[in-house]
Amino acid sequence: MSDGLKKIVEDRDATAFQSLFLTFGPKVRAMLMRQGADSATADDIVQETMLAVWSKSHLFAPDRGTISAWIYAIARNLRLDRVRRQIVWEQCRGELENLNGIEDEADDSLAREADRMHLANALGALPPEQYQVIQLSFMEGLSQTEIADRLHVPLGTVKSRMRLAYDKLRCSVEGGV
Amino acid sequence: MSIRSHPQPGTLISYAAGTLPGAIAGVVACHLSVCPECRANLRLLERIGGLMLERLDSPDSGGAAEELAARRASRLDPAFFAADADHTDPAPDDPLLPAPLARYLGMGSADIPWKSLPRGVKQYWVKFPAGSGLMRLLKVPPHTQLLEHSHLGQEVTMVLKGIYSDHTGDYVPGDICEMDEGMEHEPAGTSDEECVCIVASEMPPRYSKWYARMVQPLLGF
Repeated sequence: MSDGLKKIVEDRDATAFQSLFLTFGPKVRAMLMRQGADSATADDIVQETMLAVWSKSHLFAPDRGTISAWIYAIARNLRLDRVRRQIVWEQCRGELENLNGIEDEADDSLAREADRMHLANALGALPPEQYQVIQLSFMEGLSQTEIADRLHVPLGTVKSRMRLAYDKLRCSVEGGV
Repeated sequence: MSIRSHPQPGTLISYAAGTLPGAIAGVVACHLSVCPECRANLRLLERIGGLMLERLDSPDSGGAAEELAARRASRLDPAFFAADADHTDPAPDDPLLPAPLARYLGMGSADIPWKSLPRGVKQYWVKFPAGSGLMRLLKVPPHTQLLEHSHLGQEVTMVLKGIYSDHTGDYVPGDICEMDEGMEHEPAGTSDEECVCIVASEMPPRYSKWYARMVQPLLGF
């Protein structure tokens, strides 16, 4: 667990929270604005996302993901509900996580950090056209069809670029540790 | 029988990014509820989302972010640990329906008000808000062919019981069969027991035979 999050969970340290808010709040806001949220909605979602980090920090499982992934998923679910008016199926996620099955191999912080580096490197090493479809999906919130329209390429091209990127990213953590 | 067919990478990426229509996301959520492998891959994809978030340049807010963060932090209740609201309402344990769908429907498979279609096929349309795409449950008698149709958008099917087959292969419970826009298929329940599946699509199917298209609005399939 990162030191900042540890302080938040164990010491209920408001300064550590403030610093996490300052790191991620503006980024979450920038992402939401790119995804078509208006300024007031974006502010609301940022506040709610960060408040969820405070109030649910004891539920965060570092062996299941990173703090940024957790913040990303919280903001995504709030956007689904508030901006896209779609059902948030992920509410069932908690119970899914408790099911038996494949869990992350990395069980100590050093291995997790190495794992994180492998993934970050693999993401940085993607060919530009593969990085672009991942970026348009995660940061701009575009569907595959919208990405095809934006890039003036067939839908099948978007799908195959996603498949290639996905395979490389998966290999980076499976084979790289 | 173990799961052999998973959502396409682009579909899982779109789910992780929150860009799928609600009905299609629902079928993916049902698959995730029975597939540990895809759950691990989803976690990986959310880490990608997190990495991209970390890399995002955020414009200088001119001190507004500092002020907001300080104001929020000053009002925090140190004792406030939310019980995980997401866990408080366990999904009904249903022999047929995956947990996310059982929870959404608010009823068990025994209470589904099936509507009859030709050839002994039964169907139930799951209600969604506008703009979410379409989802239906289909119950197909043993060894029964469904009508040949093509797709005006993505169609994602998950098998819950029996075997579902088309020219792309045989699908067993837990498996996902994806059809892209323009693809045509003539699926069938091919097991000795009935086949039950969830089918979600962006648009209604387009039946290949003219008489099927004629009766489609009358029978509602």
